[in-house]
Amino acid sequence: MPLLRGDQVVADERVRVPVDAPVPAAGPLLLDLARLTAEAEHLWHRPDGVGVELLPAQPVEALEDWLDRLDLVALRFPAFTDGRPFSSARILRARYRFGGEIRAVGRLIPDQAQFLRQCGFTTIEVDDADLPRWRAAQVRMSLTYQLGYAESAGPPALSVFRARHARSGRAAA
Amino acid sequence: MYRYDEFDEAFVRERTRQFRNQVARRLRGELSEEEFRPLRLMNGLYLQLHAYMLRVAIPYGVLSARQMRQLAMIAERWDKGYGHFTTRQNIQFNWPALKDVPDILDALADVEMHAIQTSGNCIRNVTTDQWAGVAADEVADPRPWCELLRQWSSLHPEFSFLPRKFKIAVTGSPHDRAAVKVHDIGLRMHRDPATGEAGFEVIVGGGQGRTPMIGKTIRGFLPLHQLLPYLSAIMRVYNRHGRRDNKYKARIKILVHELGQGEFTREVEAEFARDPGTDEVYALTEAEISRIARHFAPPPYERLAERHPRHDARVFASQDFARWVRSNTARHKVQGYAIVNVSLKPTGGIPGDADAAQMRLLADLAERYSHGEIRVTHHQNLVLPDVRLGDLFALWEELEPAGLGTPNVGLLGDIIACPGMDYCSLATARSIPIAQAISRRFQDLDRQREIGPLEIKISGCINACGHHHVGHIGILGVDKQGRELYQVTLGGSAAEDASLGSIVGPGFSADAVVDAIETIVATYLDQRQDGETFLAFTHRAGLKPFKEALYAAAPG
Repeated sequence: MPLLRGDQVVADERVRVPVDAPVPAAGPLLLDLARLTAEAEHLWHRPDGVGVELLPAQPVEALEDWLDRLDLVALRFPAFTDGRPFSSARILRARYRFGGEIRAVGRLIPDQAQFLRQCGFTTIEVDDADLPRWRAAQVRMSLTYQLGYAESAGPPALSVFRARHARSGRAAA
Repeated sequence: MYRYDEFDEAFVRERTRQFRNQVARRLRGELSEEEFRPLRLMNGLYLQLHAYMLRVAIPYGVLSARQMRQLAMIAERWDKGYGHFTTRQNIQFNWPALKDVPDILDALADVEMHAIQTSGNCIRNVTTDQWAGVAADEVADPRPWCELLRQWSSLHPEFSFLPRKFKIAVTGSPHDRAAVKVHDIGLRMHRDPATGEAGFEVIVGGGQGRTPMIGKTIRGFLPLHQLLPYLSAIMRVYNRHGRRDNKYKARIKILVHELGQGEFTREVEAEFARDPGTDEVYALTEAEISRIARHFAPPPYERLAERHPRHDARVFASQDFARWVRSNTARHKVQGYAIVNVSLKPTGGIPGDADAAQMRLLADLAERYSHGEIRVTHHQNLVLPDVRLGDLFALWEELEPAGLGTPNVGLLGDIIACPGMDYCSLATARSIPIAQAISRRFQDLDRQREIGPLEIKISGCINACGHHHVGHIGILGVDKQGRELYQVTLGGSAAEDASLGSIVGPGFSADAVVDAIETIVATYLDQRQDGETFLAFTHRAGLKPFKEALYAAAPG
């Protein structure tokens, strides 16, 4: 499936490894947590990047020891109403300072695009057929009241509190 | 009251534009109902039994006269000429057409209002004491904090897809009029006895619904500036660990209950310790709160005497006026002023309903007598917070003929009822007609006065929107083999002495429930000790005297 990165559509080059298949010798990987746990020590020499996909019930804390060597964490939404991955992404960015790609996979609705970006997601896996809908629905809110969200990912929504503060600072000066 | 700046204005306008686009896609058939549902719910639009229902947020229950006039206009132009004030201090319009909703939202935005997050599994409209800022017993004004929470919780990127809806209530008074112990999070402002510093007691996991619970205190004293990071920690623990397998077990109260208060508290404190907020967050919170607080500076009160001789003479001269003053006004923090409670519970009426003419009249009266401000209470009444004692008589003379002067606030006729089967698709029984029948049976106001403080709360299904668990008398309508049956609970309270009512015995048919209430009241009047309220009596005497009176005489 293609990936939406900001407004760009990019191809997914990751190799997903079936449960009973061996890990291929080359190419960027996307493994599940069990596979990563089992084979972690044999993966870090690879030049092409290693990523892991977490289910919502799998805590990001499980990745703590490997985050500096992973270049992708994919977080699965089993339903768009399941908001757990938003917290997972936020923890990866804010607590662990994870700088790699965070990818949203699974059932999402286009109207969640902004929330995803603000929580630190950089890519969204989108079905080909849904691409026009995602593009059409990208009427974005340019303002946000929350602090500390989305400053590193994509065009940041304007923090209302910070903007007010800057303005009153200017007024005082 | 709070006024939008250009950022708030732009935020609501953008959101309204976004929803207009979504409605257009729905009307063109580009969105199915299934796809449209989450979008409309995020904007307060429900599909009810007969029509769409639009729930408009009234942040912490505070309305200006101008906003009230706009609600009247909306009621007339796009609804059937009335609106329904709810137990969440909001207003609902029961008959809007989908195609008109974007225009309604624009009309709301024109007066700094919206319907964002009045439904869906997100942080809902924050509620508070309807007497905030004017109550004689207030420790600190909760309204600036409510406004900060309104902004912080609006379209929160991390907490908009929670396991279930989430309700926060704040009180700044020791006498709790905001029911903080039966909310997902209750915040009670108080002062550290040692330092005098203001802070929050943080209460989590209260709630009503199918599994009523009283909230647990997880932090006795939280410094004010740490509020947002601490609430974020609670929300994050809930968002990650709250149950999502069963919607009836998804509220935070179940998580608190299943983890246990101790373990839940440890999880929150650990999360808070990892992400306690930065100096920048604290600085911006302080800057914001002082900016917001300026909007809630006291209005220009006059220096008035404690008593007003002409007012006293009128109380003496008119029994009707005296009755209204006794039940519908309350002590104001400023000498010479009173808080006026406007009853939306006329005898035989629909609790919480107001028509467009009444809304306009209230807007006029608020401007003339109360600094242009109106409050909505969770008892589905309205408040004019700042009325001079000398104006009370003139105000009453205008309220009375408009059906807004019923002197029953806090008395038996002041019934809370959910919309029930007359409107709601979840309901299993009617609640409005039961409220109307009880109200008619007890219409003698002197009798209500003799009975004293008594809160009757009626829900038309186990979701408990009518707060029956915390009614002094609670009535729950259920469906039993196609017949409506009403279960009666006694001894509940939503105040600082929060407690859940106990079921008195087998339920009653719609025809018999009013007689049952009559029997319950008679039992209380017969056996109460001097000055004992109904609630105090039920807590002392228990269910036994009521059971005997209700069921002993029954045949067989």
